[in-house]
Amino acid sequence: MTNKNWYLILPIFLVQSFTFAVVSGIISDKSGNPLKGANILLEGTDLGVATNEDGSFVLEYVPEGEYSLEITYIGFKTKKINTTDSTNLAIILESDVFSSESVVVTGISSERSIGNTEVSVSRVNVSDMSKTISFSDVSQMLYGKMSGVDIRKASGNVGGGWRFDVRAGGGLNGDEQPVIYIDGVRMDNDEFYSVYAGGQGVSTLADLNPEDIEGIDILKGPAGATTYGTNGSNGVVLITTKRGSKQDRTDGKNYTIKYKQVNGTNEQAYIYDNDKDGLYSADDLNAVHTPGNIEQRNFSISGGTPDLNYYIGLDDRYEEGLTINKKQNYMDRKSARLNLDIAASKNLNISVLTNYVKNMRTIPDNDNSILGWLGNTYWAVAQYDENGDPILNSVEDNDGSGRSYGTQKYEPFFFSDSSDINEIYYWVESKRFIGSISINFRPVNGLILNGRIGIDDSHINEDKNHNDPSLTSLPLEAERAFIRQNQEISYEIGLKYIKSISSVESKTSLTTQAYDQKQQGFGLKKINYITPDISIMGSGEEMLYEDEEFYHFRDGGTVFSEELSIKDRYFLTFSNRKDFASTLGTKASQISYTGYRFGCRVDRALSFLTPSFISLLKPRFAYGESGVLPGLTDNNPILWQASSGGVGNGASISSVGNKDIKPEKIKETEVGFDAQVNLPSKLGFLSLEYTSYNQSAKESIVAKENSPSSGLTASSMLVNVGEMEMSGTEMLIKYSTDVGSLIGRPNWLQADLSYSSSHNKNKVVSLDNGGFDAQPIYSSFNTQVVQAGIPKYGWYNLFVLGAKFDEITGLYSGVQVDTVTQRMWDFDSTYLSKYAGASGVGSPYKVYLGLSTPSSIRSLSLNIRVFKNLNVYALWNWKSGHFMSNETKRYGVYFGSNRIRNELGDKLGFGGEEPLSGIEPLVDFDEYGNIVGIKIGKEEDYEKASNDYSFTDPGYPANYLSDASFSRLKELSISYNMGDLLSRFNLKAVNDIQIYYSIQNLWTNTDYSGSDPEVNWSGAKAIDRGQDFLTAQHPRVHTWGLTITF
Amino acid sequence: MRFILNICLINLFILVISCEDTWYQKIEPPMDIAEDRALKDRIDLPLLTKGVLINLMYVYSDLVSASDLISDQIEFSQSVINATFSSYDQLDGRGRIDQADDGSQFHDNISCIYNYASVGRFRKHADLLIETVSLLDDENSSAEDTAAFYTGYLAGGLSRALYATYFALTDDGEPGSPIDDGPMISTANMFSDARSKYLLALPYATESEKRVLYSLIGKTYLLEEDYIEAAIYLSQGMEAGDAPLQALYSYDYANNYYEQMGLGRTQGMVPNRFMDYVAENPLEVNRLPFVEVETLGEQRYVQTKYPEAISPVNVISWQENYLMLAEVSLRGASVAVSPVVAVNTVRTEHGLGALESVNLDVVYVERDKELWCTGNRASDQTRWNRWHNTTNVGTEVEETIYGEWRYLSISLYEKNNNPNI
Repeated sequence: MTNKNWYLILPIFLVQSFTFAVVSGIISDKSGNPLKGANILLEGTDLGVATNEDGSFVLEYVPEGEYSLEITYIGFKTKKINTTDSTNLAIILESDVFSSESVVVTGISSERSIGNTEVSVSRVNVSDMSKTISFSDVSQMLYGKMSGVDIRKASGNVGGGWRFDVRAGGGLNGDEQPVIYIDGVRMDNDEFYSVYAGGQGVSTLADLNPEDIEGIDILKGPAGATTYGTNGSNGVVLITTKRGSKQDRTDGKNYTIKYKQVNGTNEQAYIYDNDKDGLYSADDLNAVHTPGNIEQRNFSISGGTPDLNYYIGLDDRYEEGLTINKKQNYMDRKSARLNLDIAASKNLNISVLTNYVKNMRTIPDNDNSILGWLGNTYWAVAQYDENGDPILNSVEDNDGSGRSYGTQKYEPFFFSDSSDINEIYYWVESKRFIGSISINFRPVNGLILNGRIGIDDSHINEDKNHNDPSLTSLPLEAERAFIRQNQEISYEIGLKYIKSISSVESKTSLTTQAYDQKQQGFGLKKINYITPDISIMGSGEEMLYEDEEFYHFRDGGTVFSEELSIKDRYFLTFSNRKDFASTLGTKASQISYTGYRFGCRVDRALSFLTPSFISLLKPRFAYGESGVLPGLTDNNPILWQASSGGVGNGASISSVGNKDIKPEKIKETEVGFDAQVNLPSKLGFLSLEYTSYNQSAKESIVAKENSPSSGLTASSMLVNVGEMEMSGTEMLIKYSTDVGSLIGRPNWLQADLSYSSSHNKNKVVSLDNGGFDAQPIYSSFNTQVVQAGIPKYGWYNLFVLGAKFDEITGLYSGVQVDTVTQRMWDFDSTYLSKYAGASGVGSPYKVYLGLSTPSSIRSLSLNIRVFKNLNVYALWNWKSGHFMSNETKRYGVYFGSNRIRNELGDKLGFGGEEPLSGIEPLVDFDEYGNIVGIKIGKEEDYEKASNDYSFTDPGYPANYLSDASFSRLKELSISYNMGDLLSRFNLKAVNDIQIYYSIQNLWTNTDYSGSDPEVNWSGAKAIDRGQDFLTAQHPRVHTWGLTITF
Repeated sequence: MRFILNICLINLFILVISCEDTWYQKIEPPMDIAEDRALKDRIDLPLLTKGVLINLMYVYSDLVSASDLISDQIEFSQSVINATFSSYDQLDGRGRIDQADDGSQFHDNISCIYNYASVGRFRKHADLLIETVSLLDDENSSAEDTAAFYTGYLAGGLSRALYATYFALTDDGEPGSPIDDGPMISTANMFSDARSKYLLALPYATESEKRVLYSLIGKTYLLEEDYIEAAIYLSQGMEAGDAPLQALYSYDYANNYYEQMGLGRTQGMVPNRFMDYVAENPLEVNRLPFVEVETLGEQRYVQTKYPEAISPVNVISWQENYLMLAEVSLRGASVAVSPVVAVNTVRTEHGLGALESVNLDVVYVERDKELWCTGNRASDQTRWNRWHNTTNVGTEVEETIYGEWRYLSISLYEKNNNPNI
């Protein structure tokens, strides 16, 4: 032994100098039920123990004297006791019904318990939900589970993208989507498609395996997300995956193995009906929707030792969509995850988290496409014989359409033959690795050094075949392939210093986040394949297209944050972040954001005034800033790209920028309160969270269309104009009760009820920056607009009042639009004078017609447990205040497939004296077949038919706006936990078995005129929304599953 | 303690470094785009010159085929398989009776919007090319400079002529267009500007290119109905056998007549009078090729004049120059070739028999046939005052045309963003 190591023997002497005591007792809940597995820790030491089956514990080698114990148990509030007693302690834990002690992330380097946080954070404990239901993707998990966050999947196709609408939607620029982190690693959130597939793509988020997810926190606005800077302007989604933990199992095992088997079906939720939908072809349309299979197998092992915690998850999910040809519509996802937490030393922890996913998806050419199943059936036109009589389907008619006998014939697959559609094959396969290494080093007491490097690396292969020449404008068979390589590296390094002085705890931190993204794409297209049987690119004789793209971008920021907890009653946080982002060719753009928050536990600060049944009462206030930085090339006046054509390759302008563009800043003020009440007489527990927020955006970045005469229209140009105001409220009420305890039978019947409600509104205050007055900005179909005075992307168009009539004959003479109201223009005569006489966007007669996103979202969930083990769960959702544009129906009129419109036209005589529909005209004809007047006695009918005809005119998009408010029984599940049964039979090999059956999208009540009020033809991330254009409906999902825990 | 201090200092150093904005600017440059300042050298001229011609490709067949839809040369019918574009429906019929309220549908028409923007981009590329090549030193001037000047001025003139020929602000207003957010430029002034550009191109043109320029100048006068001036330039214009000036297409960007109104997709039908032309003289099929397409019952046809996606479209040809010479002669101008010889020279190319005599009516019909699907019909109908008021004549979906539009509308984006109109 050297002199240097003399201290190694010191503990021996120290230990020998103490006298030890044994501490023992029983831990139970308020009803006297013993709590098995509660943890008892002797503060200031590593000594700890867990309770046995009867709730008892014995802690040995405790130094004699006064000591402090901390008792923790999941679902109960942590309790600290200081005592000198050592035996027969009777400790009662208070139930933490609403998880107020669980910790949520409140910023980059900050976290607080739910009970103490000064800002509203939405948390979903996903792992609890996935026990009794199977989710295809994260969107299904989150749907309806949080106030202030709306989730909408753009179409019912499996693997499709979804949209987050957080609060009132942020500023004017960007796609309004939150930034997403998984275990601290920023995720690629693209909706991917390079080949047109009817306005829909696949979601890169669908690569996530829901079974791996432990919980999801969402910071909803700049007040909450200010430390995330620019990227948090639309909120921050923080996904946490499952980790291993030290097991205190009574059977001695230090690991848990789970196997989950799920089977199910996606089935058509909306059944088309000729009368209701005004179609000829409901049978055919229904026939191309067939049930799709769902199969999933999940296997996981988690466990831990004092030095190593691990979680291993393997998952295989195969799911088919509703499209009749399943080869064109499935997702096959295989995922493997390994999460390790290593205690390298007493003050150094290292975490290594890895996930590899292979996800294959095929996409039907459905939406907005004459090459798809929906367009060829929905837009089927009626057929008549040479005499003009409707051709009815006969008994012998065996065309396989599924039409019932005696129904009118029509022309399905008018645009493309079904056998041709069958030949279209479009697939996207992603191979993706997401992983991180992080360290937590505590060199001295109170000082923490955190570091993390994470990577999201994906390789996407895309391929589309058109094997039939009639399907394409290309000369012969064509195939296009595209490869995208995306690498996103997240860096984070930070220092945190924690110090307690008296009753004030201070956490000071300085953290830098940096993000580096490289994306490279390569695509090619070949035609003239020598044979359809050899479909590789090499078989194509002629190269049609080949190109590459590359993108490199960095952003990041440094955050200073100071968090104070005073007497565990007052909570304050101040933060400031400076953000940077790459800008091509000039200096990096930068901006700084400030945030501050305050919360007060009134129940503790004024405990003498607070009734005892109030266990939590906390008003809170938060202010935060975020914003939008210009993109990489946005300030570059002109950028050029290589283009090819008949003359060879040349350069043409690819985008137009604004060298004076500045960042857009969004500010938010949030006030609210949290309260929890223990109701008397064992009536249960009540929790209430209420938040009100106001946001404002200045110098908003708006994509301006240049005048075409400028020639600078290769892209829109970003300009700083405009101002927005957003506001809203959020409320969450939870009620939990043990009905059984009221009648002396605890756990006999327990119920948890949760009701959330959120309302939002936004208004574009101005599109003027003093020197430049931006024009209304339209999205596709020219019916949604960004315009001062109305909500962004509100519906805005000519409003049809009814029919116009000829003054002399009284005959229908067209559509009468509202030329009086001028609602839009009342507030600003400048606009009126500027655009009076102009048509199109500037028409003074266009009016605001309503919102395109819900202004009110409510949900109600009910969870009932019978005999502790039988669980029934139901979730209802309501969304209201918005309209959808049914472009499917509108375009059906153009194609003549809208029966209602056709028959109205025939009533007005437009189909001649003997119209094909057999409808009797309400007008008289002369000998040449010209309409001469209204039939005597039919004037009233004629007027009504005329008005109805004008309300179906497809030239006026307002006619096809439909109230999209709905209520939906979103989830219903029943599950049974057989753990108690197994222990009764002493089956030690199996720890638990859970069986369940669930239905999603069971029932929908809506006045919407289409198949689904929650779709969007242009995808999930497009700025235009609420447009249904042959967009696949969401399926009703049945799943039944079995989870075995060993 | 020193260890802790070191850790803190290292960390702070990293923080300071990462705060430096230079890290954010150390990115690999994009390889698929170039900044404007990077393309200002002589070596870039061929790339920029071809870029102008590629923009001619983008604009030409889309624009002239849309004009043919407005005229009576191409018809749209949804009774035909794959004919779905409502914008084409509107161009062909200008809206049905109940949609013809104020023409607003036409301003919003996506084909109008696209084509108007395309001409603007074509014009801008041409003017930028001249700007770039003009800034280069004269000492090292090369053939690339000459080609750039010729192409830039030619395209600058052509783009202005397209504005003057095909666009109008209102249905009853004079055609023309603004440029660069300016006020409306009338057809006369726009044609004058076009001619100025053509004349500037002359010094850089070869002999055959000069004849192309003269034909284009003559055409502007013809469209202005100044037949005396037209004759002066057309007489120096293209000669029999001269190669046409063409917009060249690729499989990646196909000829719109093929792609949307032909074998690619059948959204543009041949009017029945073309069947009559062929029925009268089967040899007419040499210049009026068409093929039957699938419909809901009636017989309809699409053109096969452009049989492939890459089939080029003539911007100007010697045949057009000869027919223009015949016309100006018949309208009283003095040219060296007689009208009947000019017309018969064109007909002979297709194996058609010679005509004994011609008059303006004959020239009108010959132009209908010879310049079929080249975007000349709408202006011919206007100049001869023979506008049509029905479409799909003689078919089951014969339809009366309401509204007065004879041009593509200057789009709503111009109206909403240009303070001068």
